[in-house]
Amino acid sequence: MRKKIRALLFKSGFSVLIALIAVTTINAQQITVSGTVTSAVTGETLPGVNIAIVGESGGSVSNLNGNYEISVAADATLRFTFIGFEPQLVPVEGRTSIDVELSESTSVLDEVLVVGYGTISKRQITSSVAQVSGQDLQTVESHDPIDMLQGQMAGVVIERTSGQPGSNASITIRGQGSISASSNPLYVVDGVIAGTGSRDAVSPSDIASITVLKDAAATALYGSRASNGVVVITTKRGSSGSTQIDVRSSAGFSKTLLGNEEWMNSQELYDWHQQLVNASAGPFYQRSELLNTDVNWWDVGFDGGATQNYEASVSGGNDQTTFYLSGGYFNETGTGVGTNYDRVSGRVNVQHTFNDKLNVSSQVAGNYSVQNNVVAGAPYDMLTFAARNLPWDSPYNEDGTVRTGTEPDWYSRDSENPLYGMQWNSEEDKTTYFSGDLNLRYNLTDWAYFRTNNRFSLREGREIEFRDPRSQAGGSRNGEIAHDIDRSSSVITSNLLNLNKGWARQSLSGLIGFEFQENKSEDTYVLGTGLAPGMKILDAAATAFDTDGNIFESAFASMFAQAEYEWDETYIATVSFRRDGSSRFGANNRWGNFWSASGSWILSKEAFLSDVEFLDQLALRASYGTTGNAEISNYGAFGLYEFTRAYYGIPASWPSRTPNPDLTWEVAKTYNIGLDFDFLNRFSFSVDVYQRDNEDLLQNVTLPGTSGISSQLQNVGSVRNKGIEFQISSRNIETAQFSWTTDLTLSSNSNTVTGLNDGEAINYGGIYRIEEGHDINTIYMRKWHGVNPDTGAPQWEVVTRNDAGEITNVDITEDYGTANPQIVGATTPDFQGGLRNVFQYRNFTLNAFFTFQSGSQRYLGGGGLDHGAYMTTNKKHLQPGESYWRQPGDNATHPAQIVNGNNSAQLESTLFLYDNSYLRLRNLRLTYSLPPDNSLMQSVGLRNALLYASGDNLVTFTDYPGKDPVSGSYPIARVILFGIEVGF
Amino acid sequence: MKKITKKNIGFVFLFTLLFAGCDLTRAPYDGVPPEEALKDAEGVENVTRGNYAFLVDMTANTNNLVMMMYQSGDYRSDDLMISGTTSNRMMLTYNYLHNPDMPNTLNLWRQGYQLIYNANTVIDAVAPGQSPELDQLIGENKFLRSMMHLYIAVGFARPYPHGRDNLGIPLMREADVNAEPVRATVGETYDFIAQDLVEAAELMTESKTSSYASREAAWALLSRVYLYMEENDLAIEYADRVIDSGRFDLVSTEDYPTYFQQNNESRPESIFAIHHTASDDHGRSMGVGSMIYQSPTGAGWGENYASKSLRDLLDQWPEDVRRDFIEPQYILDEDGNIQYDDETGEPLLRDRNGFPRYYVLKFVGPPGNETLSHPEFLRYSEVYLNKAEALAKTTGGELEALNIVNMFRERAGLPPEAMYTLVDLGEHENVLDVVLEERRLELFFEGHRAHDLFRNNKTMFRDYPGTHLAPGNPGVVIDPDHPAGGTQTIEPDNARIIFFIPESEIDINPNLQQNPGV
Repeated sequence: MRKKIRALLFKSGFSVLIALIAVTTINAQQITVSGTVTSAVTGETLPGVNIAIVGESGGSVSNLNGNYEISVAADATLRFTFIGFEPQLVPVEGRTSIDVELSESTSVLDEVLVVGYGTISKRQITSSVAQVSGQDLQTVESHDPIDMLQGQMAGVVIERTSGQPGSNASITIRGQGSISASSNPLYVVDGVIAGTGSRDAVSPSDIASITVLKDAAATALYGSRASNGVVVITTKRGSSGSTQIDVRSSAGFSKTLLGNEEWMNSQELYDWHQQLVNASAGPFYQRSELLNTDVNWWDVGFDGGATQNYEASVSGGNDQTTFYLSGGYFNETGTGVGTNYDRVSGRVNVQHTFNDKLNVSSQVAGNYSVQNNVVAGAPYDMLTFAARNLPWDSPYNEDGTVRTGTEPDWYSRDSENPLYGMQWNSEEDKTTYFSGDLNLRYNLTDWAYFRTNNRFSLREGREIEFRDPRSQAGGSRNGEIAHDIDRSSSVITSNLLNLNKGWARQSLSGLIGFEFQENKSEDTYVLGTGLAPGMKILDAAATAFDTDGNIFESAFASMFAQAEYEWDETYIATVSFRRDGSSRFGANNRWGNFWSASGSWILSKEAFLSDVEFLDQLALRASYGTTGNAEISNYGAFGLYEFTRAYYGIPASWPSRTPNPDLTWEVAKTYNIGLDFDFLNRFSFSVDVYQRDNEDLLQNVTLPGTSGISSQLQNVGSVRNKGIEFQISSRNIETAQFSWTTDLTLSSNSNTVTGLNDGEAINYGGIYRIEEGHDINTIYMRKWHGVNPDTGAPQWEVVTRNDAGEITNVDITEDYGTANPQIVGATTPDFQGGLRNVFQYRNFTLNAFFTFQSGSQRYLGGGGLDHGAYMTTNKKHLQPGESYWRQPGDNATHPAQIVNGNNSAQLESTLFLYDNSYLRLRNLRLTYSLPPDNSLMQSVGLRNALLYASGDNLVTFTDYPGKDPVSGSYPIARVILFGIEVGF
Repeated sequence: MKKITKKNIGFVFLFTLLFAGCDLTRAPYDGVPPEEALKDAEGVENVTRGNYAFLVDMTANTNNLVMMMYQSGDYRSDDLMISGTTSNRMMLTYNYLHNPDMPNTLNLWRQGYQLIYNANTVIDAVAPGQSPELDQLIGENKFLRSMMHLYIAVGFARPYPHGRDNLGIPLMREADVNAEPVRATVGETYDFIAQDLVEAAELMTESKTSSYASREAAWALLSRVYLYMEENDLAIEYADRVIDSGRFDLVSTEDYPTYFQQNNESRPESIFAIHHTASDDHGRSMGVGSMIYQSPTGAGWGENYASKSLRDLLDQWPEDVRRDFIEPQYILDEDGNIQYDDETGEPLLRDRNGFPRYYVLKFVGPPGNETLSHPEFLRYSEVYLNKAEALAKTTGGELEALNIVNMFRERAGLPPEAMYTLVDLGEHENVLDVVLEERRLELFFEGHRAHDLFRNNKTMFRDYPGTHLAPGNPGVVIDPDHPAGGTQTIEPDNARIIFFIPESEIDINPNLQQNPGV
């Protein structure tokens, strides 16, 4: 029998699994043992525990209530194994009832990883995944769970690009592989593809763990939209036993970071105007009365912020029902005047077991947020004005009233004081997220169960822009109020048949699934004009000036299967297949097939390594698979004459798209080889090497202007990302009193565009280019060739190319229009990562977390170094080592400064391209935990209590001359927080 | 075991059922597929209307098509000055530093050809001769296609009189999204434009308002095209057809200053204009006039002004009502009274970077709705002036040319001593120069001036204050003794009197040949 099964198994493949259903394992007449398996820590029953008979074939698995039953010889020994727990050997000794308590494993190798449609222990993993859970999630204080992961996972690049409260961090997993389709990962929350809002529907405090699935073996089961990786978020559950109450609170303040950027004060700007080459032609030549005013507009616009956070949760339950309830309030006042973010959130996770067959669970979560954005002015907002307005213009009159900026003695370029309109105007985003899951699990037999997860999720966003008639922005229409309402909903049903069969030395598991998802969003925009001052509702508007609205729908259907075979905890093989259809593709090509195969060889289990004592685990992993990308607009494959315009108030149509009935999935093909090496029960080292080829890219191919249609979505082009990732952990020192651990993540990704439509390069954003053979984030601009030492004139390169596009000659010109653009670098870094050191002494813990990147470049636009082009905007200081040309013979880095500009020297060129490598102390946190035996703790019945102080963005080492090497126009802040956590 | 197998069969069945039930078709809500769009007369009318809508100033983009149709002419001219550097690349058009990488010229090219494509979808789909209504619509689309080719040609190809064999522009005679066309010659380009207009005029028989193309609009544009081609007899012929149609009148002296504030449909001179409804008014950054005007409530940028050379010309006769199109911005006290210089007694002007603000009102709506105007592409006055210029270039036509000029001077309110006679051309050497100056006085800021000079091989002197006079700019001679601080001289053979083909277009269509001078 055993041989027969094994022979079948080695043929591998899914048919085996089906065949198995018809095959029964028979055991000889023996005694029947039954019992319940529970967790020694929580007392919770454990379903799915593998029960094997040592030295025999056959075995059993505990059911949903943790009960098991097995036929064994009376003198046999049972082995209980379950991921995340220490294996336990139990001699039967003739008993027919054996209850077992498993204790949780302390080894990192037994960490439970939440992966596609299930969990797995790190020991068993065949693919490349990274997980952060528990304490490591509590680093920076943020409303955004992804923000907390920065630098913690090799190959996962997370950047907070804006300091605007409520803004999300960006995430890129293993480089950018798509051109027009989104490069954002897929979010999976509690086992189901997230609906609307993805991560925004989840409050960080409710998260038990976040896993990032990086290679195809891990992501293939989410094949449809997994080509950019998958972020799996699992929320907290209650456990049976005494009810636990946890309360956490923090509060602090923040200050805008201007980095290496220094703006001129009144005197400096005055002096600057005097030294211009033709200074007397300038508007401010020798007008020393200007020096009476000295305003720092960055101080005016960015006066500091504050953060506060309150969270509470209650969890508990009994054998049948467990629950987790939570509520939270988060508030962040931005450093920018008038910006803030408020959020209330709540969650109920309940699970109920009816009997050993049926289990139901539900997760209901929601949050409501109000975000006040930077108020738009007429024409600009404070972000622009802080840099532009002159120190000679005070925002206030002498009597303290706010100036308008239209006064004849207002000198700045734009006749507006942003503070004037901000007295009344607002830009508010109100967003509601709701997500409700209803799950059912039914045990068909002790090795097969059916599970259905169903989610409805809803996002309602309402953006309200109010411009008072008294303000410049509102003046031209006598006051205006706009509501932009976006309501999106998503329904997804995921249905799985899980199979899991274990024997003494081998196990086979698998699943078959079917999913269907329907998404719908409806936009409504209403602009009312003509308001009495202070009236902020649409009803008060005299005219319904503009109304817009549209509806978008999409649908996805998928069926999939996976099988995993494990032999003696030494050889593990997994195969999966998925077929997906999407409404977004052309009628001829809606369906795509995706598959993966992976294997793991646990070398340390082999006999030849069994006596190497220092070795805890040595495993080699390999995988290959394909995944898809459908993150494009809903109707890109349809030809369309749009009815979105009107002439003379009568509807009109116009051709906006030509059809592409062949449009289909973008496919990523990923190889991954990894090595896990754990030794001395102290050091853990993982290295992964990967290559991902995104092919048939969904690309908005720009058609020649003469075509008349601006672009068409086509499946053309390919991009290759390849790289290497290291994840190293070390428990450097571990004594009773003191410990020191270090975690390092390091990754290097190299990106190459391997194919484009007819080899045609794509220019975008004025300074970027996508070209075959180069990085997808290539910078393409005119190359600065220094300053003419005799005249101070700017110089650029003129390159001559041969037919192959190679540069054959480089000339120098002083005419910007004659100079031509060339490839000058890329924004992709050579390597990046994070370094965490945790020092613990008695009850004190110091957690220092650095992030870094090296070898990337960034264009610093936005003026302030314009060589006189703009006479009425403030100026920046040059960086150390830089100089302006003043007289013949000067070997200056920057050209002569001339009233009204020096020959286009202010336009895009490598003069403004800088290295933005950096090393940042992202977070430093000092925690004091009250000892459990503390009398105070005991007297008030505290389970745990801790106090902490935390600082974000404390120090950044960089040569980049802008405010911050990575963030955008709203600068990020330094945040100091104090917090307390109490558990009852 | 049997029981379980049954259940599995049940699940497989359930999956199959769900799977078969998945209809994955989701069609867009905001339009119709191409095969339905033009299937009947109503559809043809909808798409045609969409083509006019394409010329509406509607997107939040200071480089939009209509703006570029005017700016590409005016910013190269000596009628305008820029008071300070702007990131808007029309700055480079103004100071003759323009380069192959400018969003403005890219938009003129791409959006222009997009309108041509839209018109071609109608022209391709509808065969002439089915009904007068459909013929009218084909004619309107041919008119739009031809007009757009002309504006692109004026922007990117050298003036016709500089040589028929110069590089013209790609001619899109049919809708073809896969075409990678070459540039026709200038001769072929203008021949095509004229031919299209002749056909358009024959197809159009309905008299719609000036918000739509008409036979007269096609004739009026033909008079311009033939003038540009120096086919003077034809220019006169088509101007006469427009005049003889009796549909148009010159606006009176009294009504002239507020002419452009009126609805185009009540303007007697309006031959073809883009009509904007209240909901087309998108405020500050919108509209052709937004750079040259700022309303009392702050709508518009108001950064570029009438040049001193234009103002001096207009100021020759204080009676000239055309001076009202230029609005000096005075410094006012709290009660709204103009402030005066204590020493000179002159009114004090608001300035920007030291340059006095003189707003231009040709694209300014009525008070309270300043950002809502109806840009006029073809105006009756231009047709007369086309005729006058053609006459001035025709033997024996000089007297009639002067009569037309004098008609305009009279309409402008000038006294009898301001009238020209064959023996008294004022300071001008010949009748052509008289006509060109009057053309400037009538049509300033309507997009004509630069091309009028260069096609007539005239040199442009910009000896007035403005940011074009920075050391190192093309043709600039700095002279501290000159009242303006220097002069910029642009000869008609300068390579930069036309734009470069956008470099990104050459990237995706290598058949396009760049203009010389890069």
